[in-house]
Amino acid sequence: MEDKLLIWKLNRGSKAALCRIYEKYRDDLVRITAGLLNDVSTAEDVVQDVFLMLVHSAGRYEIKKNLKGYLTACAVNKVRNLNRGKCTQEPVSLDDVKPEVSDCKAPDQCIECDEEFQQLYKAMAQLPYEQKEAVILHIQGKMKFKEIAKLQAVSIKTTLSRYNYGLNKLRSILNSEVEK
Amino acid sequence: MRSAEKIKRLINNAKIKIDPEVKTVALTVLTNELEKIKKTKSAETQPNIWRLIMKSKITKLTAAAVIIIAVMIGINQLGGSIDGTSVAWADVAEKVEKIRTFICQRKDLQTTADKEQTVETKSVIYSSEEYGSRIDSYKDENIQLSTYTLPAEKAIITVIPSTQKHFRRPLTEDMLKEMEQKGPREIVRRFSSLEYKELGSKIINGVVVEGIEVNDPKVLSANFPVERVIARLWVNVETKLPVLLETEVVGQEETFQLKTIIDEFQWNVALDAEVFKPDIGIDESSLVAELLNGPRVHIFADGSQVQLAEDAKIRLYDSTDRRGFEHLAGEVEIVVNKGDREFIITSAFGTIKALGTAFKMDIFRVDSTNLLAVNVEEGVVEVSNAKGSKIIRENQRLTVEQDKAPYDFRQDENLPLGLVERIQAMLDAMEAGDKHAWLANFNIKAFYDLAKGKVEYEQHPDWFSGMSPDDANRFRQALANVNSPEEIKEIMIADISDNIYKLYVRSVTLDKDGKHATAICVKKQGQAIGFTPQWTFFDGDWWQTDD
Repeated sequence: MEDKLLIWKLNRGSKAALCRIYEKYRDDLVRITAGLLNDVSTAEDVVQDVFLMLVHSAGRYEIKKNLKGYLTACAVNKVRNLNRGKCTQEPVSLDDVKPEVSDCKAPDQCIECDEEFQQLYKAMAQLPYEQKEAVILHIQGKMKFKEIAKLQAVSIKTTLSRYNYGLNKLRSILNSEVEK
Repeated sequence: MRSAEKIKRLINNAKIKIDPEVKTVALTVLTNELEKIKKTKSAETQPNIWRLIMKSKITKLTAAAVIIIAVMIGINQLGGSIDGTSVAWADVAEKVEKIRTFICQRKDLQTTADKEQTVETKSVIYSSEEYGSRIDSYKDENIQLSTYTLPAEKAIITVIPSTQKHFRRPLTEDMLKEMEQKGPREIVRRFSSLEYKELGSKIINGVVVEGIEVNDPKVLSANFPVERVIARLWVNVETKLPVLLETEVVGQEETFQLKTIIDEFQWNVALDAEVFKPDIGIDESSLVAELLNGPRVHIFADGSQVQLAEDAKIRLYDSTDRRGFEHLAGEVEIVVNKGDREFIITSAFGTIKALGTAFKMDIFRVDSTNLLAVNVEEGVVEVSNAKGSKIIRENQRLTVEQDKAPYDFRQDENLPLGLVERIQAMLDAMEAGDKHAWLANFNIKAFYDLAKGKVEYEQHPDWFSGMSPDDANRFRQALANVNSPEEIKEIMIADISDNIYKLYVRSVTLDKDGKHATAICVKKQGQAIGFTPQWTFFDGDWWQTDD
């Protein structure tokens, strides 16, 4: 309901509504996009573009739409466009970025997590893009398989198998890292 | 060893370190952009009289102003002269009482408190005791809108010359009485009965006038809360008739300001019937009684009713000889009372005829095409157009596309009964949000056999028409460890959306061999989305093979 109110206000040019939407979704979108791109700086640019699109659609955005789903879909589409045009710039890899763990982790676990995250992102980079997308959108984006299937323009079964396949592959890569 | 659950938790807990400075700068860019867009839009938006009438907050001012001007029609009896003025106000009242016709000009300058909206309008008013009134609203030198109030026809007709459109609404007895109670006699009575101050005399257009000023909001018949009023009435000393009326009204909490000047009076001027005859062309039958927009409920004279959803639009028939209306857009729900005549709804898609029936109609856009969906809740409805005709009964529905015959897959003689039942089962399950019922349309055993390698995709691609060969391969690998068809079912059920949709089938196409079918369907929950489920006949039944 809050989103509908925010959109209603944004459509009327409310800066406060824009700030609230930005605070609410920006970080999650950067996290999802960075996971898809394996590149934080480009992810920030992509998310900024998405919010610019939202700003430009102020007054026309339909209140009935799911705001988070819409923003995520925009970000994913932009990532795909980037992948198609494959930029020539050298990306700042996630390997160079120190991940920050969520607050629920105990400090002693965080040290291990840092390393784990590095391994995780390295492993993710090895997944075929569609599988990575299904995994990230379902786990980080909290999207249902049906929504992801719609975004990927495939059947639910296809999305489901992409997800399972991606997760299995991640497990296989990460476990082989541990055994080394 | 990391389990799948641990990997999921790891992904879920992953956070990117955010640079707050980057974030702040990025947000500033966005808010600046929003400001810029607001300014651009404001600059691009030219005053449009129709938009202003329909949407703007200025509309309220316009409506209020109409009431102020309405005070210039008619007259009341006054008492004796008001001491201390050379103009005897009783004489003014007496003179105005004898007025049968007049023409005047009115100018308004309406400004919102934030100065964001300023609208200047000009209108010319024609009033006749015999024929009614006409108000022409001008933009530049052109008439944008003419509103005729015609007591003889019991109608208010608004004509927009630029679009050659006109709208008619009934002039009720109450409205007429209210208008009769306001007029020049009323304004003179109010000015003289309230506390006023004398303004002395001056010359306007070579005429000597005297005026009084009233600051009591009661001098106006405004339909909005008024904070402050300055109202001045100037009267020709010689003729004892009003020459100029000036008002400055400030709305409550200073939300807006309205300045009005009414002048250029021509009293008892010859105005014949032609002046009050709306220019709406020869074809009187084209007059529309009313255009109704949702959300609202309209009850017809026979007790039938139509409920309009938010985006719905209908046009009532002008003729009282016909029952029904024209359906223009959006979702409408109709309950028809029994009557002597048929209840007929016309639309761009065809004609819908009903007798003693409750049903819904919805026009919406999908895949760049407009679609009409008709859903019968009780009784019988006939839907027909130049391409064909269909009758549907309780709990049945059909769709109509422009220049195509109405389509109801249940009445499609090309489809096998088993397939029709399977399509219906899919619709029922999706509309009820029943995931198990929906999944029951799939041959889960076939999926299980595929996962276990008991069935090769290449041998029966029709059984898995929602999958590509690669998808099938991945599916087999991902689910190779499942132990039963039920396990696959549970995995699939966990990810089926809880959304409940309204569903419509636009067409069903059967392959030449008669064993495979594809439908074009629409699901509507807010916006309409197309989808193309498929079915294949195998294992002795029709099974859904794609969603």
